[in-house]
Amino acid sequence: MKHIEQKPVVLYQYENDQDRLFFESQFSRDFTIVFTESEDDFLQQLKINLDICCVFLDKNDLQSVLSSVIFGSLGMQVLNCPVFLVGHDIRIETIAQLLKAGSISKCYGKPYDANLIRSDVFAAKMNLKPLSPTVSAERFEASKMSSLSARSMPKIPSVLIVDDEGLATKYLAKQLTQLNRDVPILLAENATEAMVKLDASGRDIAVVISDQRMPGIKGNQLLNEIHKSFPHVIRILTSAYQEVDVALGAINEGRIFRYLKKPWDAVEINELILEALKEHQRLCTDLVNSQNTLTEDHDAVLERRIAKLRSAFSEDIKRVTGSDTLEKFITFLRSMDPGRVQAANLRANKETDIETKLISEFSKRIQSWLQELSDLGTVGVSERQRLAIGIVKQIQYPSDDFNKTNKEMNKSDAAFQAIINQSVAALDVLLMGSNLSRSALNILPPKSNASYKVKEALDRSEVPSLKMYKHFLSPLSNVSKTLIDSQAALLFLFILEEVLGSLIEIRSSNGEFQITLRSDSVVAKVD
Amino acid sequence: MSLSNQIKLYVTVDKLMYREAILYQLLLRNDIELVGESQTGVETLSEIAVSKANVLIIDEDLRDNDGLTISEIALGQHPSLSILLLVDHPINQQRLSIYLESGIKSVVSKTQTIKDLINALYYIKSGQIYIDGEQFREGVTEASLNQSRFKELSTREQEVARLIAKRASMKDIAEQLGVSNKTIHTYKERIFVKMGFERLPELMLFMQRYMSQNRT
Repeated sequence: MKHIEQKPVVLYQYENDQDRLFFESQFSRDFTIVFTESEDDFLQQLKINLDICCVFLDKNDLQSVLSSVIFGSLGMQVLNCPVFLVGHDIRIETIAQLLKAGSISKCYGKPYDANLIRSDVFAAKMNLKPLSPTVSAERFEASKMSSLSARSMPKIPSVLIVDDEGLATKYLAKQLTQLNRDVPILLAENATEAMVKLDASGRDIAVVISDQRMPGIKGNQLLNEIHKSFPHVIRILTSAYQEVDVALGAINEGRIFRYLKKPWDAVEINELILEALKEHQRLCTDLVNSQNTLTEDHDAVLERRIAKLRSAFSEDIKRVTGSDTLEKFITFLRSMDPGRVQAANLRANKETDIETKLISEFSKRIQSWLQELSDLGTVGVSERQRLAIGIVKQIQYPSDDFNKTNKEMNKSDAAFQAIINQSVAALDVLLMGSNLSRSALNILPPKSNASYKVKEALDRSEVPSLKMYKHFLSPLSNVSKTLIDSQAALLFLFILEEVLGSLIEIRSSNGEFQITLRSDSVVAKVD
Repeated sequence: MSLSNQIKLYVTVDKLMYREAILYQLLLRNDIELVGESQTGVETLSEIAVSKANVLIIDEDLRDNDGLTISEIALGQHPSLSILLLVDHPINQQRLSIYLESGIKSVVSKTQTIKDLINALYYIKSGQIYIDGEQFREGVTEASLNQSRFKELSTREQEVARLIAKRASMKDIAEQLGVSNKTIHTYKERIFVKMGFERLPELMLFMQRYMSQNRT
């Protein structure tokens, strides 16, 4: 956990003293700024200073920037952090060339938004991994068995061109196909059509080239949306006009790959497409590799967590229930939808005490109950019935007062009531997690009652299932009170299930679950 | 995808009064459209798609599930949703990086000002992450900033500010100072711009908080 709260260290290269003074006045309170003027110093700092989280280039004009050592082979070798351009006189040609030369993460025109620059620097310092892109549910189910790479790589990577000038675009498409028969070219006349095609094609569209000026949603907005929803699609913006702000926005927000000036040249575009496809391939491979690593790493985290769980509670619980209740709990949780593993989960695991906290918080909750339950001693059939009846009654008639004063209740009655209260509380917690009311509980007469068998099957399907969005075996980034409450409640009910036998059932199906209570006090279905 | 720069906002906060307090501030702005509100995460998940929200403000502390979990699920279904997480206490950079890596675009603490919340909202609507670097700075607070700005006002401006904060009408102030109505309106505008206030309650609150010691 090194240097977490230290000021971010930024490398700032400038040409003008005035610029340097201004930058210093704006940001010296927030960052540790390393100032360099010469290319040599700049390179030197990049090599030796490992704390640098980002680089600022504040140069007079395009030529200076392009000739910066950053874009040379030497620079590329040592550069491993974002480059922010602080621009004076940024023109469209500059932007297009800059993108070609190397990757600029952000481009700030003057006057700069200090808040935004601060935000981007802190984000750079945090070195955030991008979220794994979403895979739609059906596709996930279908491809669970197949390899991860097959799922992510497009079958035949294609290019989508979005432009409202139908004729010109069709002509371009024809030329491109002649130059390269292997790359399918798709067309869309506006942003809406483009999104429809992207949704339909899934992973096949690898590159999108969009014109800025279209009726309705503009090119930069479309590319921004694509960046959010389909982050691995390579985005290229084109325009016939000199809209610098639009282009800057497209770089900063849409993270475009290239900016293309109209009129189009088919040969140039073809080469660009080839480059873009290469980049797409690289991104996809990275994605597959990192997701595989994430999954592997998390599997290890999970195994350790389960081991800790077992060593902390297995014996204690066995003593109360007489059987391997914890294993039932673990098996049940494995049948619940775990959720995706994200980089954040691994970060939390490495950099915080989340695993220890998980066990200790859980422990606090469980230990007091185990005491209560073990005091009950071995429970005979009639006692079990009484308990079940008590729980169902309290659920059905919440307004009745079940807690008589201490004087009226003897010690064992009080202990008994405490368990009933605890059980009802546990059920309520699980219901709350799905935002459901007590009507989501199946309350039925005991199984032996034959005439209710058919009715039961019908009743069960009408009752909504409970969900668990996060559970003990999910990828976790933090330990919330609601998580501990719900998992402790669930374990308590598993223990109760052991004690009451078939009078309480917790069953899972399709990643959701239902709770059934059986009691002699039930004569008909409860609404 | 939004055609305009309109923020289509969904707000999920458990406590009604708190939720309303935020909403009354946010709804004053022309470019914010409230498309839904909820107390629980589960309800939010079922409504968010239909509401067509592009920004979600969600409290970490909800009764049914924690805000982070709900956010992760929501993002799984709607990756282009910009989410702002409201937390009870300021968090350190390490925790913040975990939240941001989970897909949250900004984290605002209830110990910050409503203005900070609104500010963050505007930055994240395009899908960018926003980190308020000023929180990590040592020393400078909103209070001292405003106080020094007030000291930079002219004596006249300060006087007018005090009177306005006492709910004196423009007419009365003009009479009291012996100038025209128009002049007072000009003063008022200047004061608000220099102090960075948008509405009268902000000036009144400032006066109450910081000037009671310095009242002449």
